[in-house]
Amino acid sequence: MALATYVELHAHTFYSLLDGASPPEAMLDRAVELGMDCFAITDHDGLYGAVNFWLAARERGIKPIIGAELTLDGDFHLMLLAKNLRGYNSLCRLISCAQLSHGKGEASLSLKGLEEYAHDLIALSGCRRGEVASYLIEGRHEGAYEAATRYASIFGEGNFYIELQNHLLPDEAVLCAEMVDLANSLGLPYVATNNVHYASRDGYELQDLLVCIKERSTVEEPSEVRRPNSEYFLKSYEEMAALFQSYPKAISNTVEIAKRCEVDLGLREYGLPSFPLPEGETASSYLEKLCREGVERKYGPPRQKAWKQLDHELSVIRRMNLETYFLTVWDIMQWAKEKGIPAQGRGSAANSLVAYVLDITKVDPLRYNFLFERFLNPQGSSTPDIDIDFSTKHREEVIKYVYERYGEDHTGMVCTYYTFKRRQAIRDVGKALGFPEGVLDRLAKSVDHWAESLSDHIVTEMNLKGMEKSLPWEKFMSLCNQILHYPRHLGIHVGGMVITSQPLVELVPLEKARMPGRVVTQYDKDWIEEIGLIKIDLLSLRTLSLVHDALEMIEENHGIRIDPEKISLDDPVVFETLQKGDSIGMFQVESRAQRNTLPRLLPEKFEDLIVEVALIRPGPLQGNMVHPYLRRRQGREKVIYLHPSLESILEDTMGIIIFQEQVMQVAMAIAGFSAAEADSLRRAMSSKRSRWEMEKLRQRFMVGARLRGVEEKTAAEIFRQIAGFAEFGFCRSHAAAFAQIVYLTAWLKIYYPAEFYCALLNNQPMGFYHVSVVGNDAKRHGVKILPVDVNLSEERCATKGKDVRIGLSYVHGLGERTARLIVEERKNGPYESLHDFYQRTRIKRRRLENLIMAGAMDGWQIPRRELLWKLGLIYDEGDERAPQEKLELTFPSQKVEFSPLSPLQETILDYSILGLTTSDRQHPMCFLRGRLDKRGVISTAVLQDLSDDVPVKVAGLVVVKQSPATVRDLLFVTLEDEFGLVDVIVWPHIWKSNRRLIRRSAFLMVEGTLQKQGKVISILAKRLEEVRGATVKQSKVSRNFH
Amino acid sequence: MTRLLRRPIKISVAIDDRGGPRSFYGSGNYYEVVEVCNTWRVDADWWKRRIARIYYKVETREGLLCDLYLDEVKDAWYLERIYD
Repeated sequence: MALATYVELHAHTFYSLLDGASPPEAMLDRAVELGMDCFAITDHDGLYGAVNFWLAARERGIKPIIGAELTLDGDFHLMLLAKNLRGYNSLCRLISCAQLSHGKGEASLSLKGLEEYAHDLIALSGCRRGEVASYLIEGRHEGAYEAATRYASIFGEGNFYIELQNHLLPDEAVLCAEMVDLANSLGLPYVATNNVHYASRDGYELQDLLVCIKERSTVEEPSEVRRPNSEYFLKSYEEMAALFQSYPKAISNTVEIAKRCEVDLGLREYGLPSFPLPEGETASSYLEKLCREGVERKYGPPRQKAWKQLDHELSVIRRMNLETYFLTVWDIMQWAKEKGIPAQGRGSAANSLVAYVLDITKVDPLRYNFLFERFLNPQGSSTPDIDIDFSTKHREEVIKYVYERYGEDHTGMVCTYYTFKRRQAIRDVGKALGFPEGVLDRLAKSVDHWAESLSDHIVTEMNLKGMEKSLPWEKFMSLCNQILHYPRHLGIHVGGMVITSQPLVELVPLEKARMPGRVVTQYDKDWIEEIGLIKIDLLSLRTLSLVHDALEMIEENHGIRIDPEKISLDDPVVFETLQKGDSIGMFQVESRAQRNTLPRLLPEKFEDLIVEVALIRPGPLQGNMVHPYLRRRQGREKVIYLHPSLESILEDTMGIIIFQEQVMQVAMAIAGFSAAEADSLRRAMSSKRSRWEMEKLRQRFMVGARLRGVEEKTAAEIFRQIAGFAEFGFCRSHAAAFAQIVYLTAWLKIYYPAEFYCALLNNQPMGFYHVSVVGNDAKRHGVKILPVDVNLSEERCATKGKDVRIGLSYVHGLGERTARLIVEERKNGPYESLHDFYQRTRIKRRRLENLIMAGAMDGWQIPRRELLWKLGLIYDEGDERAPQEKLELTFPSQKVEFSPLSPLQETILDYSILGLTTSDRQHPMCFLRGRLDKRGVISTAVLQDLSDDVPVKVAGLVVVKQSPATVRDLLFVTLEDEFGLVDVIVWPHIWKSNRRLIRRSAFLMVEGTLQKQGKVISILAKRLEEVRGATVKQSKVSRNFH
Repeated sequence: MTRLLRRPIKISVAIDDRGGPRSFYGSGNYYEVVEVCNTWRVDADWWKRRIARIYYKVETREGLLCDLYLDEVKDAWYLERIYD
């Protein structure tokens, strides 16, 4: 294709956060339509979208030009384009310098900084806020000439252009003429741009709105930063040529500049810094030495299989120059081990024997026949990915270690982009449009329906009855829908760290994170990977903190030091428990879906647990693979293969695709994909699915299948199955790594329940359930939950024999510091009275009230109401800052009698102040039971004895509401009564007509039909009703996943 | 000095090949445009009553200097301002 005669060199995508209104892809699609074969991205003070843009541009056959519009001191703008890789390095330096030298979101570059790193860049003088244009607009011609001369000198001859823009503003024709005069008199070239902010004119409204959101103003408030018209879209050559007909050179220079810019973002060679090696060792020899030691430690003789696999893996690692990578990860793991920090590799790395013998992963890949190629593909171009889970409370220490080990210049946390979700969209768009806050609050809080479109939700919730067609509502709904998934701001990724050999600041722009002292890259984890840099995910897993705490308590209470790696994985008691679905608190298998699947899958061995973990994932669920698998496992369905070549791949999963690597193997077998192509397929199906890429791969798949003689219909069905799967499923090794933690938590729950529940309570929030459900589950498993007590409780929950005493930090509003203070002071002797407690701790009144109401002072045998009364007297005496003079009145306190709280009141206080009830209290349902009995409501205890399909009435506390992404039109409500849990299935029509009831009721009564599949019980709701009488707020006990 | 008409006068306009005014007819008079001195565009109030106008400051053969605009919402031309 011939070069277009106009190239847009100044374009803000939606990565100019809350300013640009189109994604890079939309800009590029428009550029393709206009016949441009080069195009530049120039977002504000960042390269946020650069990698995405670079990839998408190349995909469309467009040459990407990487640039940014920088803010300089004095609030001037300057456009910079990278001529080559060195120019890209300069750009990264300059952006980082601007970002890091000021507060978050206030980037500004000093002239000195600019001068220092202005190599290999082409600079344009910028928009109206450029220094040259600003001075001319103000009539300060000398200033403009001085500024232009200065920039020309900084960037060197031919590298500084005067930028002309014409958006049909009243003064722009004159400004352009002045800019050209200036350029001519200084001998500088000039160039036209359109300072694009949206792909086509119809993006104007959204752009205007985004600016209002950024400015926290409404559309009715005039603002200088809002643009006065809709001319900031991507224009064709003809349109631009017409606007600049007096200055044809301004148009042709765009092409000249584009020709001079060529940046390849493949930065693989700047991977990890060299690893500090013992004398006489190379990275390769040292890695081999460590691995050989590891094999001898992990495998008893004969070790032939292990040696063979090790040699194979090491040869691949050497070929791919990844020795340093493995040594780096090994080093982090070693350090964690020395510090006693629980850590475990997850993901595809667990396919590797090298990772296993280096103690990075915990599951033996030889025993479970893992596919090493899923982790490291010799033909693949992607960087391998090792993700490590660390105990949540220790992860920060690990991050600090990495910073210290490799230096702050070479290490950084990876960012993540927070995008507009429904609630945020409603609030931000509505506020900018001037909608009343009450309306927005109601709409935002009530968004809970996945399937329903946002517009439908708004119409229903606000009862618009045709009003939705009025302009304000129509605009509101349309803009909310448009803005969904747009990036809003950037934060720290949960664990991605990038380590580089060249200073990081030259490879990726950096900026401040919200967390004090922390710096993040402007590229997210996928883009870091795309450009070939090495990222290690140091993730935080609360379950590992739970395991750590439980093991410490077991050692303390029982004198046994348990090595989790030595626990045998074939204990029948563990599997019996899992088969019952008795899994609350266990890792990964406690959700409603998992609890219901366990009694049907009936895991008997560790391999079954691997399947169990992988099965309840969006991939297998969306691909309709769960039920066929369970039926086949139960012998109720014949095992068939869509094509004979699938038999060897899917044999051990009964013809069903469950694991991610099976997707790749199927593509290789059916369509002759190479391993690298199959890996591309997996990556194309990631959460950021590219339609272009997918379509290309589908075509490639169909052609490949035809060449292999696979019928078109069969090939299409197989592609449909794998397309719905891939990234949303687990790879086998990852499922195995998780299954091991499942097993470990199950084992702890069975053999050391007090320590298990105590650790679980101390590591909240985690898992699927509210802490009250955990507490009630503990009681059902014989672990008493003892009340909080200022003289008996520790700061956190603690075991007391076979029971658990609630920790002081559980008291709402108390905080860890106050809890610690109470425990510390108690070392001087028990608290004798309220007065004594107050005198010794001097804690704030509100906190003391909560302690009283939570029963933490019941030990003094004084009714709580009386303590509260006395508290008033104490604070009256003790508070020197009392705002008013006291009246000389005597209170007949001695004569006041205080009735004790009723059991129901105590239970309610437990829920509201502690979040869970203690064992000496009754479940709130007990207080409603008498009334419910009369209405024929049965308890969950008797459901097991009833037969399938009978009508039933049950009632309970709403503890989970879930509308899974895979079945978005269904709602699952989990109710808890004094005997246990029951799942209620709510069909869309019932949900729709009971939305407010479901949203607000703490207790629900359900009339419906009992559904029994073996031991799995649920109720299909036909009618719902709120049960009144116990004032517990739903928000205090329910976890909502919808 | 300029006179901003209290209510812009609706006019008929003959346009040139770039969409600008060549001549116009309003209030019983015919004017031939000899020069378009400036062009600008205004978009506003899209959330209530959308305004989308392209303005032309023109000089007529009679020496009249005035602002015309094309209202894109109504697809109609108006004379808004006359310069004294």
